Amino acid sequence: MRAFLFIVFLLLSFATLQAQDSFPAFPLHGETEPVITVPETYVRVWRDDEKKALFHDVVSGAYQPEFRKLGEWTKTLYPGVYWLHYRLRNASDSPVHIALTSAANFATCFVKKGSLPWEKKQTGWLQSWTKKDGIKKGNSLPLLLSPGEEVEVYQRDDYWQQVPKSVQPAVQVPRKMAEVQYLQAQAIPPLSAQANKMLSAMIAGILLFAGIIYWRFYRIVRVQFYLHYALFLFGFSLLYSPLGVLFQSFPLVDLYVGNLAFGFGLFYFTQFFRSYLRTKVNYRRWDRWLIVVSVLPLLSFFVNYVFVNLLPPPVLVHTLPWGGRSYILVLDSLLVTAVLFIFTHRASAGIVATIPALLLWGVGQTYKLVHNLLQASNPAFQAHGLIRWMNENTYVVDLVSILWIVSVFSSLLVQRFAHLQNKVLKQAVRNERLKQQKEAERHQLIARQKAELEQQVEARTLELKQSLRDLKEAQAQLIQKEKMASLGELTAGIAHEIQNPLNFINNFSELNLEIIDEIKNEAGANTALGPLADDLRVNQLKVLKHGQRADAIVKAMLQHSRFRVGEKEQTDINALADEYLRLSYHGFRAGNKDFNATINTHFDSGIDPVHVVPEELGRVLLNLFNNAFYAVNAKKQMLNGTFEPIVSVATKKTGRGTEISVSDNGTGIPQKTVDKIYQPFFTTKPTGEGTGLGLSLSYDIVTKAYGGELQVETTEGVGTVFKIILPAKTN
Amino acid sequence: MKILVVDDEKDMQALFEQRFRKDIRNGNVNFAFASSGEQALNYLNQHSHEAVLILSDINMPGMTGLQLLQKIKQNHYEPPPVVMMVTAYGDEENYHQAMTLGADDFLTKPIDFALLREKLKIPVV
Repeated sequence: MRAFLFIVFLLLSFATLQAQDSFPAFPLHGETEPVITVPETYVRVWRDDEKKALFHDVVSGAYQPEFRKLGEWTKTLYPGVYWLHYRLRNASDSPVHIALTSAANFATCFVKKGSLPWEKKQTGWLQSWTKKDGIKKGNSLPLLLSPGEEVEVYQRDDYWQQVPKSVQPAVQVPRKMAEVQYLQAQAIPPLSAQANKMLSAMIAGILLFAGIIYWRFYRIVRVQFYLHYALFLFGFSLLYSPLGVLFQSFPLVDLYVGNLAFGFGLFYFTQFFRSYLRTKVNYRRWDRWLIVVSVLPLLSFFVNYVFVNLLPPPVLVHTLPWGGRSYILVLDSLLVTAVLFIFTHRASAGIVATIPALLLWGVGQTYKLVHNLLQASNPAFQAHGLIRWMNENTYVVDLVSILWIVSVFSSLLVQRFAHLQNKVLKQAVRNERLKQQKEAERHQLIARQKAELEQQVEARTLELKQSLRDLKEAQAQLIQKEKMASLGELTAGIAHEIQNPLNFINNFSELNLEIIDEIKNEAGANTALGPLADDLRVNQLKVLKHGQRADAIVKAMLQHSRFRVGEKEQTDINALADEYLRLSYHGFRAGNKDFNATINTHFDSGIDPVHVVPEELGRVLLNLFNNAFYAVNAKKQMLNGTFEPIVSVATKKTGRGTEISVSDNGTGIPQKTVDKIYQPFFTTKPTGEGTGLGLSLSYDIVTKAYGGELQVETTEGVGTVFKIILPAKTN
Repeated sequence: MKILVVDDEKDMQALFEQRFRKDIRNGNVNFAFASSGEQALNYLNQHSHEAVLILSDINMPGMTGLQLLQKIKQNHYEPPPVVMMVTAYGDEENYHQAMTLGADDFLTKPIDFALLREKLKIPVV
């Protein structure tokens, strides 16, 4: 059993040895070509899908069984880590200068010469500049092989974020490469890398400057497409800025920022087209397409750069090409948009002017894509003439197109800006004029309202003055009424109380008279008592007489508060006034035989009957008539003959009720006494002729009993008018 | 005929006695005097069958004439006395109140004795 195991071990060891031995070194026969591809039979390959294998483990044999000969290896190529194993031998007589190289973004070569230890060297397009070995710019790791010398190489190619076209290794022959490049440079002078970078920087500067200008424009006019245009310019400015030079140690920064700026710029370039041409209004469906297309470059950036490590390699194979494709799709869509506008005659000259540039740009890029696809299926495919030139110089094509477009749109937008400014200015002028007009109208309105207000205030002031006058009058009347009322109560009280002593005075006087008569009868005619009794009787009689006089005064006073003698009835005022006028006139003539007066009556036949106690109102009228006759008579006696006494009575219907006015052309009432005429006991007549209660009583009847008014208008020496105003409805 | 005169004025007694001197002497009338409503009620309660006629003032200290009138009408004396109010306050209010309370007549001061005599004779005859 042990022997068997030993044999198996031997066999296995031999097989390994055999494999090693059957894996020959690739013989180099001198520096023949600029690039020498190592044939498939000399290369072993293993793809480390886990991306975890360390060199130590690879070389020590743990992963050795995984290695396959490249010729027998038929797996689909996708992003990943590829370990290559090959040997090189100088089969010539002279030393050979070669350089290892890789197309992968990150590459590490482990080299072993003879019995020397393994040497590690790094290179790759995305490898940090400081970590790079060899000729950094050319991604070359130089190696000198003496005649017959052999070198073993383990090459770790990390195709990160890229789909390898082929994993077959190749070695550069620097001397030969320099020779070829030198000769090519003689034939077609290419844009040197330095010049290239300078040009880029210049373009970036121009774009940045233009971007700032349009940003300012946007800040002023606030029109959206200026913003889009400025953002587009910022994006492309960043794209063309030589970030690679600035971040040489971090090529990834250049990669990320450049690609993001590119997607960003394209997105806003499309947005600019949309807002400037208003595709949303003009071509609704096409506008939706533009939205989708504009997002694609950004979307592919996120998928291929941000989430690249999360996506499985087989998916990346399909997503990675979309970076370039979406770019071409955007350009072609914009070209179609411009053409669409030409065909519908909506395009301005400016849009027409952009078409060649878009054509060049879009077609150039499209062609490049097609060319690459064609070449992929048929390596022998070769384009010719202008197309070939364009294919080889897409960078120049892009630059020219962009500069063209930027210059055309810039002039367009400047024009548009001037136009907009003009519009804004006009609008401002119009607004200002409108504002002034409104202001003027407002002023007019205010002036008008002011005038109206002043008028109103004046009218109101007049009204207020009038009402103030009315109020003062009313107040005066009220005070007068109040005075009268309190006086009336007082006089009534006094009158009553006086009646008690008067009761005794009068009654005992009468009794005394009887007693005196009896004394005389008892004493007889001849006694000395007779004449004394006669004197006593005369005196007692005088006491009685004056007592009765006092009684009369008190009775007159009490008529203010005495209960009514009659009932209220519908009374013809005209007839009543006429009756009492005659009564008064005849009564007065009875006392003054030679008195005569002209009597005028102006009765309004249209007045309605008034609901009053006729005797009561009659007493008032009688008082007024008596006073009138007294006044004219007094004047007549003063003037002696030349005076014609006139007493008039008139009735009329007024707004406030029925008015009875009694006027005379007599002596009038002095101004200083006119306020006292309604006070009880006030009289201008000689003692005994008047009680001073007539007008007081009349006033009470008219105002208290009928709710009316008693007014007086008088001028001393000219005459007096008394007016009784009875309200339309009296209780 | 018995007449009760109610008045706070003491002179009223002298006046009536002198005015009706002959009638008193003849025995036609017989006077009693009270100077307040309370006195009058006392008198009436003691001599309920005597007073046929009551002459009462209204304004008196203490019980007024109208209160007295009310009491007299409430007490239902037998025979019911005739009550005449004699007052200086002959105003409408007093008059109506007196009549509402059941006064038989209403006279004002100063007293017109001729008129009073006329009125008194009617029940006498």
